[in-house]
Amino acid sequence: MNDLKHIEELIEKFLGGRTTNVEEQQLYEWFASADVPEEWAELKEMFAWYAAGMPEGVVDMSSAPQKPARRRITLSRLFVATASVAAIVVAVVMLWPKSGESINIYEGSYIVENGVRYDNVEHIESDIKMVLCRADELEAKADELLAWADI
Amino acid sequence: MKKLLIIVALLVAGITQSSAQQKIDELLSRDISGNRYGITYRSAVKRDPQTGEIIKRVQEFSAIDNKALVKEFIEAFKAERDNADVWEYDENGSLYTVTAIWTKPKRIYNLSVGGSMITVYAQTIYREE
Repeated sequence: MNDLKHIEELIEKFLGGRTTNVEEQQLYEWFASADVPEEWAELKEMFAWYAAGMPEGVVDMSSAPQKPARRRITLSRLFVATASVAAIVVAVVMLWPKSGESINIYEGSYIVENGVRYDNVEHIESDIKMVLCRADELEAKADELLAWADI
Repeated sequence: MKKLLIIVALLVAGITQSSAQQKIDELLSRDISGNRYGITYRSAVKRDPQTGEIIKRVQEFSAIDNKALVKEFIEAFKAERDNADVWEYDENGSLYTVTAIWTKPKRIYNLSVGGSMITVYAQTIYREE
């Protein structure tokens, strides 16, 4: 009796589109094996159809209680949601400010030699590093002077 | 009246600060703009690797066999003697150097003349590393 009550609850959940896969499997197995009450004869046929993978033209479902199309809608919604999230992730990755590794810390540097300007940072990087190195030495001396002057 | 005097004093201080190094900067920009032989100008920028923000900007200017230019730079550096927070002059044999320093933001200007070569460094440190 308890078994029937439990099955009745599962049927209600199924028709409401709230059953889990395990619960649905439980229903299919129960309807396939148990002595089904006469009033559930149509349901037996319906669950057999679901259990068989919903083949076309095998059963007349017109009189059986209709299961809401929630599962299919859920799947399509899930697909749309996944695609949306993927699109957002791609957009964020593309638009996000470049991380430290992709920033050239010497960007904007240039050299003018005999009136010719060179601003390809990759080509002049070693020169720029030398300039900054000499500037660091001057800065260290300047710091000593500032300390001496108590500023 | 007191407020007015304070405002005027602040304005004068602002003007003085903004005109500091102006003559040297003018010489630097003037001499790189033309097609001048014997002059090398390097403008180095160092950025924060995380944000891309400029931490330091350094100008290195060098020229050879240009006595007129040497004279102009020496005069420009001498003119900053009273404006700079620290100003140091050194003459050692044929090497003549002047260093002028300003704080907030930290600016270090250095002139070095030796033989027929003149080198000028002008660096601004926007943020300590």
